[in-house]
Amino acid sequence: MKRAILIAAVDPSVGGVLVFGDRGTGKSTAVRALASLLPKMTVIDGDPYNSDPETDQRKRKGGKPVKTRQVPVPVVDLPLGATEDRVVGALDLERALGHGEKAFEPGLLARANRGFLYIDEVNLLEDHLVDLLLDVAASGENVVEREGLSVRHPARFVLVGSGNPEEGELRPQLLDRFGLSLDVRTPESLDARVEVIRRRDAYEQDPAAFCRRWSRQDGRVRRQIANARELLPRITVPDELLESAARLCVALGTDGLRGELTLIRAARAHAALDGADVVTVTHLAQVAPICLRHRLRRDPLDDSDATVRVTRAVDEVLAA
Amino acid sequence: MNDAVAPAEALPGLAAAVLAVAGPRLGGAVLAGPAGPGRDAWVSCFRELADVSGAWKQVPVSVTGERLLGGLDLGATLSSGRPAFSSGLLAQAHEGVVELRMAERQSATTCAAIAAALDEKRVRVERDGLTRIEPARFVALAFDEAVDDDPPLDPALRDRLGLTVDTRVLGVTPPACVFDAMDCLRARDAFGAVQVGDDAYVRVCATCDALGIRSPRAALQALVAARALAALEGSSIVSDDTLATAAMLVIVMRIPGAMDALAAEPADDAPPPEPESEVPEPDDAEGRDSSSDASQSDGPRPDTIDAAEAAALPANLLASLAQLAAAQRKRAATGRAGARARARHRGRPIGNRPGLPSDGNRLDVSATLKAAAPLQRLRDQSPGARVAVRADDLRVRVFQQRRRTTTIFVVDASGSAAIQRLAETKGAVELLLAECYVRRDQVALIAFRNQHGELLLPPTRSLVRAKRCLSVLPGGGATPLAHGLVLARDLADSVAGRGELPVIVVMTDARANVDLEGRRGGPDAFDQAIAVAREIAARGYSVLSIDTGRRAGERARQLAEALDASYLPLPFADAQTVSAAVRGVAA
Repeated sequence: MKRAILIAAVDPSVGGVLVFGDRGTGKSTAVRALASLLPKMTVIDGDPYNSDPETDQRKRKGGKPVKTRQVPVPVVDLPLGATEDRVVGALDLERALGHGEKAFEPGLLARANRGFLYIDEVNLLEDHLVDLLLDVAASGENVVEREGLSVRHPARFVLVGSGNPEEGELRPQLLDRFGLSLDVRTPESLDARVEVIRRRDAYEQDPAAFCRRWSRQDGRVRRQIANARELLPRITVPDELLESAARLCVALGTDGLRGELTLIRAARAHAALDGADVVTVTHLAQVAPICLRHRLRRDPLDDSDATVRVTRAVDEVLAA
Repeated sequence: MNDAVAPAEALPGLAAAVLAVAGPRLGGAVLAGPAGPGRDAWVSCFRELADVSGAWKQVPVSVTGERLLGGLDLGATLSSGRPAFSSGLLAQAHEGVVELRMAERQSATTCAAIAAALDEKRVRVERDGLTRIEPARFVALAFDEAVDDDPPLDPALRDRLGLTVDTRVLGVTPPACVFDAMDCLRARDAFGAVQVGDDAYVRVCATCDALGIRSPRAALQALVAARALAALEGSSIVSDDTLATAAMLVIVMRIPGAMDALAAEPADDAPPPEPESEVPEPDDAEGRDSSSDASQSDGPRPDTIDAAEAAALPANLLASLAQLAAAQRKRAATGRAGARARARHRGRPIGNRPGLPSDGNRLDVSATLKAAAPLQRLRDQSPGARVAVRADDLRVRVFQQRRRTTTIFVVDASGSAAIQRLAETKGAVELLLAECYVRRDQVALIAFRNQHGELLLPPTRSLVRAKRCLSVLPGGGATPLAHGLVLARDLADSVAGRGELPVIVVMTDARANVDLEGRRGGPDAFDQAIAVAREIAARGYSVLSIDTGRRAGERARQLAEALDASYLPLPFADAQTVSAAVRGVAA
């Protein structure tokens, strides 16, 4: 899971991450911790959309340098029961009443621009909100037409969803939209579990001391992400690897090209995290399950585990 | 100081005291059992011990997201002309208690909202154009009144509530508790200083392991409970016995029926045997040598620990409980998915959206007023005028976006039709199941042979279950067609009653030879079947009748006519055709 989230942090274009798993395995905790692990980003001061000063239109047009600021990458948590108006943004009530002017109050999508949007219990989300999120995630732009307002603003974010498969299945369209998907299980070995409990208990007894103890590790991860981002454009993907990726997708019968694209991007980000210059077969094989396991041709009557099927195919295809 | 693991009778009282001390750190408690004096007695006992400073709120089953989380306060907004926020139940219960009535019937959304508040100790609201974060540190008491086949309490919420109290065993008088309110008060102060021995981690994990409880939360909650107990006992370190009692309260009681098992225990083998260790001296905090054989305190833990030996509980008690837990898991594994899915798809309003009330859309009055309320001052009202509502404000109720379809398969498994056809019929049904999966439909399976029909599979979305049911379906015997149709009719009625759309697929050769009384060769067998078929047709359900006879038969055609069904003879239909036909009917 850590690897998948880091991959998404290095290359947001892989698409979202879907985390399914047992209860109490720290799905939410891991995602919420992300904010402190990411290198800070530069935004235009006071801009509700976290616009990047490098690419923003206003700066080029005006020629005047805008004030910028370093902020942590937003990790926006979509609370349960959020209503549509707060997600997409709506008429700013205070301004409307105080000054009688129509102003747009950006919603959660604006806040999540260039960052992460986290949905806990994604399978409990209402259908119309799901549709809306899919639409925005696909276009990278949020179009609001309501209450006499007509606004469009950038909303590029990495969608991270978590949930428990026992509590309902996810619609296939939504499933496909997530770049990576993984299944978190409670560690089987007693020792690993004891260690989990021990750390968590230490945290609860004295959070501050706990954070100090791990801050060096945090710093290391942060540097790893920053380095990987820099390295990413320089990493080469050999042609024969592209071919392997394509063969793998054919062997598994995944629908559409999204699987292959994600596979290549994720492998590249994975290589970048390792500090490699070239993507190797090993990288590809390691990311294949999380990229493809939710894209398999759905055979509802085959109950074998998807990860196993992908791994099997990886062994067959890449060995050949 | 407690000498041994507490006896079963003492557990409810201890649970109340522990929860009073640990409070929101333990999340809360599940009170399992029907409404009654025992439960009330426990709650009043807890109330006395806990000395709760915040409000004591009740969450009814019918609670809306707005009441739970908070939202725009309509009255205040209208009168002041500014958006006003009203807190929801969870925020109002800050530093207090939330009681969940009939917790097992609460919707998954409600439970998830409460679970999120328990995790974060606050409520985040993004509703009605308002953003609020409010503190919400509360103790949740879930009244779980599920019996036998009822769907259990939402597992996500269950997991976050540390304690479980079986209220069926409680009498009218408050449960006996060796601690009083003063002890609890002292213990709350002492709680933070209580030390946990190093092997305690191993022991709680091993206990969970042995009982097959996978969530790490249970182990953490057991540690919290152990600290609270130690604080109550005036000890600064958690002893093995305290840990064992805490494990009983948190981990063991999670297994439904554990109380019965514990109560039965002393009968056949008198006092529960002492754990293998003596009570350690309370003052040697660090690096004490645990007398338990398997785990050493500080050194590297052995890689393989015999779970039962390391566990906090005596081995024989653990073994009997593990059996019980395994049996429970088996039961839980069958049937929950269907029940849960059903609960979530009932046709109830799920919110509102902007829109005009036409095309059968129903106006949501309060949502409309709410949308209009903040804008009243803007709309240039003369004083005393009525509320100005514009078309922009109108909100309509959103019910379920799509009517769920439940496809009911009525399969003739009798000798006449089935023997050579059953395999083909099964093949067709499997294909249809795959179709249903793609469309997110529910399926149900009724089969009839010998004396009567049988509902093999109540409506479910679990295709794996449907497939399993189908594969073990035996063939042969007489053809009680009428009874099969009666079952289909009743099931279709109940499906329609939930606001869903039933589609019936009948697969038979219609050679009925058993009447509704179960008499073989009754002369009325076929006429009765036709009569039931007419009833089904009268209700206007979509029906597809597939003739599974070796040759297309007159009777099957008559049946299809009576059912007002699309008729399809299987001899000419391969599985693909059948599937296409069903799609046509269901659309």
